[in-house]
Amino acid sequence: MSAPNPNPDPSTPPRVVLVDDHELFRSGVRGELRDACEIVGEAGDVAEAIATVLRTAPDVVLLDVHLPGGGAVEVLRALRAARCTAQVLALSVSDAPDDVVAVIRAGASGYVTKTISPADLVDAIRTTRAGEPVFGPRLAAFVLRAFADGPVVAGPDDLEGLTPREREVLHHLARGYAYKQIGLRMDISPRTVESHVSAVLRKLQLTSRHEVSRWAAERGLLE
Amino acid sequence: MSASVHPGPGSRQARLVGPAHRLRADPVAALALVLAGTVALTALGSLGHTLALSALLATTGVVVARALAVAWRRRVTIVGPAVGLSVYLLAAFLFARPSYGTWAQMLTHERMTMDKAFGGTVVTLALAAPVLVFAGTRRVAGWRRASVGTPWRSLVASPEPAAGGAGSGGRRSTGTEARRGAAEAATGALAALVIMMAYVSTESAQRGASVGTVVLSPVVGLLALVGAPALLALVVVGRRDRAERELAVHRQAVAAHLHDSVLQTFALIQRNLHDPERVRRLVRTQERELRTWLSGREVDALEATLAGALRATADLVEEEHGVTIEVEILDDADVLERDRPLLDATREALRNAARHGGGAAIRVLAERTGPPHPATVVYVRDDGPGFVPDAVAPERRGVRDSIVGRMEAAGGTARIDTAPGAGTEIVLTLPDEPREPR
Repeated sequence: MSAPNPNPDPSTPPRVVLVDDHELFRSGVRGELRDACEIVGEAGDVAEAIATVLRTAPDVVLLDVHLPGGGAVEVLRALRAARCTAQVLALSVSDAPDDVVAVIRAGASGYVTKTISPADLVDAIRTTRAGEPVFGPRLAAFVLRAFADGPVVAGPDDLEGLTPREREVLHHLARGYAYKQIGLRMDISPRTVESHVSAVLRKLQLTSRHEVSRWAAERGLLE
Repeated sequence: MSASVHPGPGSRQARLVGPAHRLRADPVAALALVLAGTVALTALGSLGHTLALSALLATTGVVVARALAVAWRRRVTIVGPAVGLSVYLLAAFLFARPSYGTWAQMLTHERMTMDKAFGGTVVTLALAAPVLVFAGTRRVAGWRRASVGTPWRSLVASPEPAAGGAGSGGRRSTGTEARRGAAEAATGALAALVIMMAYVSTESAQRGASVGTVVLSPVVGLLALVGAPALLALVVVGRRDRAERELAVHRQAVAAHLHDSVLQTFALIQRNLHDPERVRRLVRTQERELRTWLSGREVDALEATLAGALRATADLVEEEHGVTIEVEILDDADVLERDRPLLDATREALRNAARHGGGAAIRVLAERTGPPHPATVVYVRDDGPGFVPDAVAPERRGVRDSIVGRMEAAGGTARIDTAPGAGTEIVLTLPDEPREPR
């Protein structure tokens, strides 16, 4: 029952499942996304979310971090166990990095805060569908802090530190630059910017670095 | 006579062996159990004697196994189980080796007297006292937190009655585990004691003790068992009351803070419902304040650090211009007097962004750069329309004087990075060591 097309045609509206326990918030987002996305399902708690996503096989799941019944991390675990290929974009009302890092480590490919503008949300959904991480300034700053005392590593596969390029990309993100602007400023293509961010996301999910691991352990993400 | 101190049905220790469970559940039930057991065992004669001994050994085995299992599984200190274990072994030894003579046999050698029955109880309690005291002190903390419960329950029942009720905050300490181990030991010891008393009564009856002695011996013993923890509990009541007073004071402080901040803001919002922009700003400012307060940082001490000073600056400009400013700090540091120009320049950069940024989000990022030129760097970025720096009319002195001029006078630099359509970024750098004048 997983999504059959991991790389859907970008010209079609993304198929989105909306998961949030507040009906008012869902109806607000539904209204904002109506023109740009196809809402194929909605859910208000963990069990409902898992069932809905597996049934409808959307491109993108908009997932509230704080959900009754176990939170977004539970949903992400279940989806991963079911080999669901839908991309997950976490929505958080809090700007606390621990919440965000928890869902990132559980497999979400990006997060935005609920104060995001409708246009930016649509952009973020498109980016997420394309399999690219959505890395907000706050998350970028958190990662910079977490890796602050880390070694400067030679290649992107070294999980314990950031490469100078990755650090520079994150620094721009933390200052509020968009991918496209970062590409212009660093004189690289937006694709390259995205691949740097992807590498950082992977490090964040896999690294054993102390600060990240502590957040994860406190959230029960490490067994 | 209702079982008002029943532990939750799901509680781990409710699955202990029967007598121990009853005993924990209700001292009255325990007393009835012992009396009934005594009568039954006495009626059975020597078979009852054997049964009492078997029950003691069986209980001992179960309790010891459980205590060891708990200690192993929880990987906690095994002091509690160890003390309990030694009591069981001692009791079992005394009963199993009659050739040494047991205190019960000594007491019942002749016609049992009231004095001697009571003496036997005292000896029994002396054996169990270390366990009771140890378990009692370990349980005090848990009991203080619990707003309900009797002294008996606090000392003998599970430290987490009714699963997460009494507000112990959900976060388990290792102390809880140690306490649980101690509770296991104490419970087992009590079970052993009850059976031992039944044994004494049975034996007394066989040796021709009076009915009064046979009945009163376990009664006195159990009263002592109930009374000793109660006395201990009375001692800790003072401590609990003090904790409650502290809690009340704390609650009052929280209430006062919420009144001065959140409730005031609510009142302001109600009066300004016609002005959505003002309401938005009020909510935003209050949210910041509340977050700061929740995070445990002292609002007053905020401006002593770079993070606090920048947030305060951002709050000010948000309030003035009704914009949203996100502040991100990579490395915090104490604010020194010579940092003042940096903060002032940041404020002017933020005002500039608020005026010309077209309402787009404004971000502040601050960091400390390392050697060879340690410095504090503040980035102020808006995603607004941007401008052509050279095209700014000479009479618009804001950027030149209040930002660039200020930073250079302080030995730092201000770089303005902008282009039409690309937003604006102002980078303020203040080196720790002022550069040599050129």
